[in-house]
Amino acid sequence: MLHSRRPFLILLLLLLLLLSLSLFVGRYPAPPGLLPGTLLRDELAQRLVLNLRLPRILTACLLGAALAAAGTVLQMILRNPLVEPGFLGVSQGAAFGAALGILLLRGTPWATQGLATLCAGLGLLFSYRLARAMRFGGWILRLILAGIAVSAFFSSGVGLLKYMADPLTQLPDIVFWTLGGLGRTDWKTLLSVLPLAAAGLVTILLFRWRLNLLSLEEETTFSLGTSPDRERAILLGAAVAATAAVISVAGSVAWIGLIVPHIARRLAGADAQRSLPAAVLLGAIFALLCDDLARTLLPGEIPLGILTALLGAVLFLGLMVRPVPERPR
Amino acid sequence: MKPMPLLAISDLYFSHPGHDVLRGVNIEISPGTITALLGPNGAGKTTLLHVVLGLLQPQAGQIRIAGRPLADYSRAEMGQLVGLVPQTEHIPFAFTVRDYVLLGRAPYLHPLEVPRDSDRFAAQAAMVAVGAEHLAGRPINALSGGEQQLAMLARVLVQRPQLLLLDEPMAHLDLGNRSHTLALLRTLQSEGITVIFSTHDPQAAANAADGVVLIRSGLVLATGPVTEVLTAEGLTATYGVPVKVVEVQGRKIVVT
Repeated sequence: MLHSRRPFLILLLLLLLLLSLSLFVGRYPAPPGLLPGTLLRDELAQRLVLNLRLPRILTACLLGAALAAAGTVLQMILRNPLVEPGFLGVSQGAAFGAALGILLLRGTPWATQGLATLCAGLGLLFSYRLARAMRFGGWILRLILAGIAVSAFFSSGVGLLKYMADPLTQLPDIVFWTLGGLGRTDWKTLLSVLPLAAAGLVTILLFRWRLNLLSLEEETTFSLGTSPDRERAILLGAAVAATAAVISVAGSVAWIGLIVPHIARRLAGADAQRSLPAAVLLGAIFALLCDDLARTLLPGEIPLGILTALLGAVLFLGLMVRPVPERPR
Repeated sequence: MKPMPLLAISDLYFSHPGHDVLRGVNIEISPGTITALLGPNGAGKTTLLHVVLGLLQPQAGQIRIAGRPLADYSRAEMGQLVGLVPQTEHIPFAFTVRDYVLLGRAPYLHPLEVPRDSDRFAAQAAMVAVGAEHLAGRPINALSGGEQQLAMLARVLVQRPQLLLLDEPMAHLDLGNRSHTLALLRTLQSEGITVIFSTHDPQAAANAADGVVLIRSGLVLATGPVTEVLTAEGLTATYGVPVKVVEVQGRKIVVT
């Protein structure tokens, strides 16, 4: 058999299982959740599951899938397994935009999301233009350096906005946004980000095999009949669109874009034709699992970003410390 | 009548800001030959290969492949026409050799397509042809220099280019792997591929090539068959140190 679909099918099954389980998990009527029988009798439970849990669960899946796909794209295009959408000023740009929306436009959802998406795009644009203008090092190094500078610029902006914010009304909103969470998600928020996130995700998935070519040395990539600049621009644009869309509702959710592509490559191999779909499924599973814990563990909700960072860091250390298993020859 | 050259380069100029690299290069390469691009470090060999590939745009001059100017070909057509084995290839991800070789099919696939079974069979056949089938499941970034060379040659073989450019293919190899690579160049030639390789080693040119292009400081000093161009005078002029050429059993040996 020339290439195996097994990891993919196992992940799909796992995701479906977790999805259906997540509908019953929660703090109503009492933790750890409700029984299927209760759902049939209890009208409140039905409304809760349908109007709150289901859109939230789907948003968590979309969030994880988009961040993992964008992470895979950035790692392969930048030829660096240690980057994530936080590089290139995307995450910090989104955080700045959201803070700006909370401060200037009183945090109306469309303003926060719109400005977050806009500033995430600006973050990428600034990083790209700055890298073009730099006269030091190779293209990838310049892109990463530019990303660091633009991220620092935006995070100082976030700091300034926090300082200016009303400590009783606006500051908590900004802080909660930067911690990340899906507590306010309903069908309307899901549908507002779905088009952009899905467009980015589908574009990335369509280019899944082509992405491999873009991870080779520039001269080899070019010699294989690609248009490297154009194809990179399309994929970076798709990655940023998907990332900006989901973090505009979920806030800063760290580590998924870094850790999930790594695990996907371990499971399915380095070839993005297999590792990218695996990362998408795994990202959805990871984000959904973290969000289930976030809304169930404590009476008050734990910010999602804290859990993804905690779980992500533990997994990351596990991956780095454990030696790579020798693949069968 | 002389056959149409596969590659014709005329009056080619290329410069980086403040630094002329190629200064009026004229070369014609006949189809089905192996040509060594021979010259000291910094002579402009890699730049010349990159200009032929279309990666670098020359300031003046023209390059024709099979009679048509480079600009007339689409990117996919160029990928089907010209292949490249770079001097070194650092790959940060652990692709299996099988997956890596398969990337050579890219010029034949639409950007949104994934490889078909026929592509996988072609990749398998290419690995067998270069003797790399035992490496198929190994990660590309954990191979020795010689093994990686085999994987790269299988990748360009599956690309089926008419013209193959190799940048210093022998530079990082030991004696055994060098002669193996040499034999493989002949295999590629017998598959109808025209080969140009750059080297700073006159002996490699003498052993592997039919024709030689002597290049120094962006100027072509001489072109022609190995027997005519690889002379003591020519090599002395190219490298700036006294070079002798002796013949042993009909083969040229270069001595400094």
